[in-house]
Amino acid sequence: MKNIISMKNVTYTYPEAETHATDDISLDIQENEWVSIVGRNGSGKTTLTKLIDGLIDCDSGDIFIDGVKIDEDNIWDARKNIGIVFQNPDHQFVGATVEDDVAFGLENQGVQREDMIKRVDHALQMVDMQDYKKRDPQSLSGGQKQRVAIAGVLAIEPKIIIMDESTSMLDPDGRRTVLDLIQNLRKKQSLTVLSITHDIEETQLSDRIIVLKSGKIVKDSDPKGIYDLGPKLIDYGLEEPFTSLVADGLRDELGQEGYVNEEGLIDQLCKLNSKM
Amino acid sequence: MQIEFKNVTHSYESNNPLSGLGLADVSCKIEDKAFTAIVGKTGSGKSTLVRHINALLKPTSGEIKVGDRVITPETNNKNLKPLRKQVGMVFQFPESQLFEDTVEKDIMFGPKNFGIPEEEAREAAHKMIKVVGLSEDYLDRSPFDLSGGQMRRVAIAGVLASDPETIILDEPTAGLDPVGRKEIMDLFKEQQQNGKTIILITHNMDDVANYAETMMVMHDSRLRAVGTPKDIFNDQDLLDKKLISLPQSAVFAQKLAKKNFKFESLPITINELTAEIKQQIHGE
Repeated sequence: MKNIISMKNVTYTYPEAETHATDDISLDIQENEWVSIVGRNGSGKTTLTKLIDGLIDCDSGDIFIDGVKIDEDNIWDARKNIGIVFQNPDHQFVGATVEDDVAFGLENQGVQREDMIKRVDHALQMVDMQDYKKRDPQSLSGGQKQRVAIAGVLAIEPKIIIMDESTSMLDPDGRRTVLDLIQNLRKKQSLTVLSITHDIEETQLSDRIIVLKSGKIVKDSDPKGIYDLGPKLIDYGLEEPFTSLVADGLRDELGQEGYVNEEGLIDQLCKLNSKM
Repeated sequence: MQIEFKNVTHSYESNNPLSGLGLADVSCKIEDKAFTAIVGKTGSGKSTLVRHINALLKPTSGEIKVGDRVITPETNNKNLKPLRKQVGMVFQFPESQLFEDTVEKDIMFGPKNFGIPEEEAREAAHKMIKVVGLSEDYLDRSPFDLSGGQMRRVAIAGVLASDPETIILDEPTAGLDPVGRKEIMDLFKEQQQNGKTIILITHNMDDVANYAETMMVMHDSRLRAVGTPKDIFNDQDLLDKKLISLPQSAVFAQKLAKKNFKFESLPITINELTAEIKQQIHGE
């Protein structure tokens, strides 16, 4: 597999800040990976994504997107590979209708009208919002708005989607539809997903979890490896998974420690319940 | 201070036909000194409901009683300050409303606006910054140099500094990390224990189960149910109509119930869940 994002010793400090926002970070992300980036507020998660998207320039180190080292001259090309879905669904609409909104990014790139219409329709189909294309985005629910925002990102056919807490303002239904959508998209096409999140349930869907603390990567593992940290997860801004909390309350009955997934826990409990 | 809604309807005066009714014939009592959670989908009328409590919105028909004060469609905008001092409101993303050049001035703005003398307001700022979990060192800093979570705390301190009797919270923890969220929720619980009335709008059903005494369910601008979280989360009709979602413990119990466990009523917190499981494993 090839690296779609590669960071080498990247350091960035905000003007007048006393500490580095990212501190000598080196990181490879492979094509088609779904990576969760977690950590407490202020740990450097958003800074990391801004560096990847070239919204800020690193003070030292190198960043490669799809094999190309980004610099001032090629940043605009590199950025075409990346789409960002932000946290607040109300802050990312510019168009008067859903289809205008999805077309916005394409207009920016000077895509021809006929091609544009096709790509907008296709993107809206992918997020199952084609019936809403003439609607005012403001009249949609939170989950629908985020799906339209994702359609706007898909229309530019990026290789990487960055989700910057994109589900944190949604109600449980809205959150579910957005996460289902991402899962389905990845079944149909190659897509690298970088998701900043505080939601432990959401991280369970990803291939890999990267934990940041004070601008450094402190853990990098598959989800189980991270969940096995138990109560230490709290130091990193994550809750313990729900199943771990239940297992902890039933420590005497289960007689074991460490992370178990839901299916495993239910199985164990049912066995215990039938024995006695 | 008891709050009572009597047949309150609110229609947004707008050219956009999609906005329509914000509230439809809502009647309810919100008990003094209680912790009440309001749930419902985006656009169900939760925010419209609470904005009537401090007269940010006025009813199109019906009336709202807040203590002795009665708000009707005829209520004019004069003399609302005493009401707004009694009812503090923390909006979604309150940090976007910070504007002063120091944290101290920002926290003092509310109390001063309500006519509290400068020195008292300053004392309140020094007290409240600690209540929200920041040290007094932060008072001299610019609010814009703080992290998102710290800004949120400063904004909350600003509301607490006016010493309101009722605190309305519109998704106060959205975007905070879980540790920050728990600290902020515990802070509000503590405020309730100190005699404040807390009204919380939230999508987080675990927070409802863990903190609230009463739960109100909004749907399509109507108040569809009021009760204890335990009763509401066990209301099959509400669940069938998908008007509420369940806390994690209840979802897990449902899965166990499909196997060889039986729950008379769904547990809604982890403690209730593990106690029930233990009892069943060890036999009654």
